[in-house]
Amino acid sequence: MLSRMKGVSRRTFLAGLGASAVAGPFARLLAGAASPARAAAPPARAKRLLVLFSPNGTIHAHWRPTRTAGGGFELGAGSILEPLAAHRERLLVLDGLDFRNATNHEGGMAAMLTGGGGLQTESRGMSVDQVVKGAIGGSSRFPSLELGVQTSAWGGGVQTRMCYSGPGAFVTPDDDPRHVFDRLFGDVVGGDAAKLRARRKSVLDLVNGELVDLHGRLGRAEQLKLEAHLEALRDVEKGVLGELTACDAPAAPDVPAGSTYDNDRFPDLTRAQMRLAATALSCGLTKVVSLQMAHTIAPTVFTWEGLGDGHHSLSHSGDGDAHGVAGFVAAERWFAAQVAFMTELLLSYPDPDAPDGDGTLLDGTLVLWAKEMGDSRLHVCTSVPMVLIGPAGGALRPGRYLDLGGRSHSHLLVSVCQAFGIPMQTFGDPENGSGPLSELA
Amino acid sequence: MTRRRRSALALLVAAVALGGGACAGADDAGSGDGALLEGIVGACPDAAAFFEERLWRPILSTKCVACHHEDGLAGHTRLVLWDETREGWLEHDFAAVARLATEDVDGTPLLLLKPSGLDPRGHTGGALVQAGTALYADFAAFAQKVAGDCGGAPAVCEAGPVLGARLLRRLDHTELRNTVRDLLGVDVAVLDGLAPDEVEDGYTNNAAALTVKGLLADQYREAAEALGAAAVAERLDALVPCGPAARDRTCAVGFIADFGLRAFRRPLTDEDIGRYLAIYDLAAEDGFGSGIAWVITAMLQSPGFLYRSELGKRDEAAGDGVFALTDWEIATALSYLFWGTTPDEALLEAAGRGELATEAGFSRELARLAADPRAEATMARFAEQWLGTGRLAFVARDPVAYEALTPAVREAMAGQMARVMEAAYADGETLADLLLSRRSFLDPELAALYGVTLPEGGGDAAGFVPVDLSESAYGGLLRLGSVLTVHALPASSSPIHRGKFVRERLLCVDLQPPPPGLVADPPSADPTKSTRERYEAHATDERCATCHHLMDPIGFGFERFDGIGRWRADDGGHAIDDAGVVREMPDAGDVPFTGVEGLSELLAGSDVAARCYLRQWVRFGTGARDGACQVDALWAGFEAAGGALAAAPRVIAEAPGFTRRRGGVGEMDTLADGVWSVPEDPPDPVVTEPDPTVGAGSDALTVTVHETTNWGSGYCRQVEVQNPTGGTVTWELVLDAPGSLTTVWNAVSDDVSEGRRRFRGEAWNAQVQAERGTSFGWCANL
Repeated sequence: MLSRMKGVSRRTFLAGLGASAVAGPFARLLAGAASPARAAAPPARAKRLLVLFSPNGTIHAHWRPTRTAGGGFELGAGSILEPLAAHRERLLVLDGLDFRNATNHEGGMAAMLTGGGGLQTESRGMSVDQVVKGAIGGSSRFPSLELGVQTSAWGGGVQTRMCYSGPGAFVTPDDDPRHVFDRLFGDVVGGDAAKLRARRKSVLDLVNGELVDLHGRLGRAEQLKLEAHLEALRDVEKGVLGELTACDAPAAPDVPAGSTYDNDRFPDLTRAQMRLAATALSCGLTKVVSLQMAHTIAPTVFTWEGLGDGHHSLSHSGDGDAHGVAGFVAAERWFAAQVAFMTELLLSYPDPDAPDGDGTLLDGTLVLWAKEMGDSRLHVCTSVPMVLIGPAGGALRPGRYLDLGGRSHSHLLVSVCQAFGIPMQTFGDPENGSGPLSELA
Repeated sequence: MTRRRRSALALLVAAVALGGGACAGADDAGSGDGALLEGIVGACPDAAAFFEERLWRPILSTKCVACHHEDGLAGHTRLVLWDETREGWLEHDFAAVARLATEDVDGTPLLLLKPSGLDPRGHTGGALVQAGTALYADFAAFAQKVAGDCGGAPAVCEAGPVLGARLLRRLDHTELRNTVRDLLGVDVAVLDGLAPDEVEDGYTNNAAALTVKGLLADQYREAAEALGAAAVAERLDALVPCGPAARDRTCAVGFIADFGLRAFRRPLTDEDIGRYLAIYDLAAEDGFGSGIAWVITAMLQSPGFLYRSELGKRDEAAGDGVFALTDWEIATALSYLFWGTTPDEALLEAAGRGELATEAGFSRELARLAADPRAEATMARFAEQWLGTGRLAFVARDPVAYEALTPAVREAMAGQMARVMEAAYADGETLADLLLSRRSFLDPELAALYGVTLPEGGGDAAGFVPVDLSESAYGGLLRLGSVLTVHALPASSSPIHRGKFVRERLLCVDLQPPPPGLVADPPSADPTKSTRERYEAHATDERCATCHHLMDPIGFGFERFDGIGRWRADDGGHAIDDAGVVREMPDAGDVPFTGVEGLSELLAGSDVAARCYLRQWVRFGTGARDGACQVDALWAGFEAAGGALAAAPRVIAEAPGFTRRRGGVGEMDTLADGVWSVPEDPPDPVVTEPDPTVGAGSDALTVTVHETTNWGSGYCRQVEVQNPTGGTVTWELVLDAPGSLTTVWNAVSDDVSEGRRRFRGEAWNAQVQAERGTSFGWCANL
């Protein structure tokens, strides 16, 4: 019994005990069983979260890795994940995760990071990035950053949003790398930062005062509008008045003004946002970043891959439509190549937590590449392809391809939370099951 | 539809009178129905109609009943619905749903938790009614009615004027760009990247949907900083009310009052002026321009600027809980309705003189606004949102299949539509005219695309020539390239999108999105079949057909036009059948037609489409979500105007509901009130200061006190100090300075006696050298 527990998840077990009677003899026995050095080491935890998203499901036959003798796996030539082959040992490829009570584009988009829960659940209707933000984001200048690439041409809706601050409450991603750059580094680039901050603060205080005055004149529905506005100002204040970054500003994104929704700029915008994400994490400006590439049903045309049909149309190509399937696989491989690019960016920065400069930014970062559907032709949310990248500070054991046999993806969301030391047992609808995916550690 | 609603209601009332007899014995809870219904309908007479109109029709009858019927997947749950063929269905279903509304789970009715997927026990059918949607709001309103709170929009329209709620309407991004451009006269490209406006029913200016959340607040901040700096760099002379020699704090106060009035569309209060002066003071450490820039930056982030106030003042004479918009608010409402931007000087002056509350003044300004070219731009913006053509520049198209759709052709399609709409408005055309007219405008790009020969000459600056398309396959609203292109797929036409367009935008019959849980392959590309054949196969699945039979058969009528609106003789080699049918057309049932021409005639001959047009204008013009009741109230006026397309905004503005609102107990009057007279520029009066008490050595100074601003309950004074002597003087003056000082510059002061204060210079101007001068001043509230 004891040995099994040690083998599987001793850390998690201790974390779970945390709030209750930790000092019992059994807990001490566990602690004493370890060597003194190990006992002193802090629990292996992720320090930063990066969630990536690309839309419109997958075609499993082209996505699944090939198992090799001896329990390994390969990312086959021509397959969707092949562009990540160089990082195979850093991947946890998750097959067989189902979204419970969710199907189709909208259902999948809504459930992907929330597990579909309402206010009464442990995760209170939030998406996993917002839950992690609540736990570890508070000390950062930007408790979280939501970045996007062409997410908003259709406005904000269930189809175009993946981050939720509560049931039905979207968090809008910033689609403009130039604006992101200004938020992150605007007060480092030239000018007198102290003066700027003092003026910004007084403007925010003024607007705040006006909103409070106006609030008292209104009926309840209009008051709610102003309450949302006041809440937004608090976030602005934290962003513009938070601790100054110790980093030098990088070069401004090389993306022309007005090109945020130019279909053919999709690749430039993606890489600009990825560079900003990596810089922000490495500078300690934030610990939680999400990057949403397009949105479910997105009609992005991958002209740079020589494709003519929109991504959503391609995603519905039946097996008999070889041309359509090839187009979709080409588009999906492009997304995989961007994920590889992001991985390489994280590898290119030193680990900010390692005093001696050892390791890379990826070491303490949990990267989740999520999708919203399984087989795109069937509009179903079963076997939704999910990929974790990096050791997440030791919380994950990468280099494996796991078939989870139809378990609820809520367990994955629990695992992500537990990797950050958040003692959650359920995520979203508790009916979907409790506990983490113990296989990941 | 109206008739049906009333008959169902009558039936229900009768059933209530009989104590729910119609369902007795048919339902194990039947005996409870009567009392429950009697109580609810007794307290909220519109509850039954509301249930039928807002809950039953849109979703219960189309989605929920699919599982929630006696033999259905959810037949074992507490919600078992009867369909409409069964006698007593309405009473039964009302009661079943009302019971879920009374079941409380941690403060929320179960009725809201289940279909929204928020119930911890889950909902197998998924989140059909997402929190935050209009449908969810209707479920919530129904639950409130069940609980005895009858507020909210009535499902059955009351007779007489429809008074909307008191609103703060956030400017949408187009209004914001127009407004900033008009206020500052600078390039507004910095506003292009804002997080998009929430789109409700196709409109970006819905009053309830527009808020300032998260990212947007920061984008406003960033843009406001850039705009403040740009305005000062490029336009300072035009913006500030004083010449280069007089750019000081006093001038700043004048600027705040003057620019503030235009930015907030109302006179500033003393408190407002004090707040912005404090911003000026902080930033003026880097000079006058910096101070002004930051005042602009602050004002552009202010709720006074970002929200249009439609709050009004309580007007008990007009009725209980009625609020009348002030002149300032009327000016603002008119200006954004007709021009989509901030009121101009003349409109503000009319407001300042109190003329907009008079019939003569209101009519005069309304006529002036409607005749202005800026009204045309708003009409064009409405048409883009109504018809969905705003996406024309972005809709993705297969570059191989539709090589012809170059950016220049897209632009030409937009240009054609703008000219067609402009001519229709200008010539007093009705919706029927717009549908049937073959008059159009083509440039060489479009003429080539359509194979039409352009007459020689006669083109406008952009190369568009008026043409008669009677002899071609084109012409009329439904064959505009812009309309056909946005309602199509990247690589093909789309009967679904085109049918949905007609149904929702031209007939105002809204469709629900596909239900989650419905797993269906969409028609895949199949070269052996025509588009129509592929879609017909698609709709053989009954679950798809429930909704698609309302859309696809309309869309089939468009099959002669490809994905970019070109006429085609065949569909990839397959013969084209463009016979269509409008199913369940309000008040007409299923109506067949042939081709776009037939559909155009069908729509042109029906009031349904004209009423829908007016309803779309109500949504766009007033920010309302529904607009059905307003149309009932406005229809007679619209008909009296001959149904002219351009008459819609005027009819809306002339209705009593335009200037009045309904408010609740305890709500307070608007801030947009107060008197303002057109500022003149007299020389600052010299305040008589016959005997300034002066400190040692200061008696030789020449002292002049100007009152630079006086707004009744406060003032600012500026003091010039000259030293005519041959030596340096450390000055000290005791002056009349009544009221409480809000700010003092270039001096420190202390009280000497009631209304008298002693002023001494700051470190940098405490001493005045021989034959030099200094100045200082203060502002005070009386």
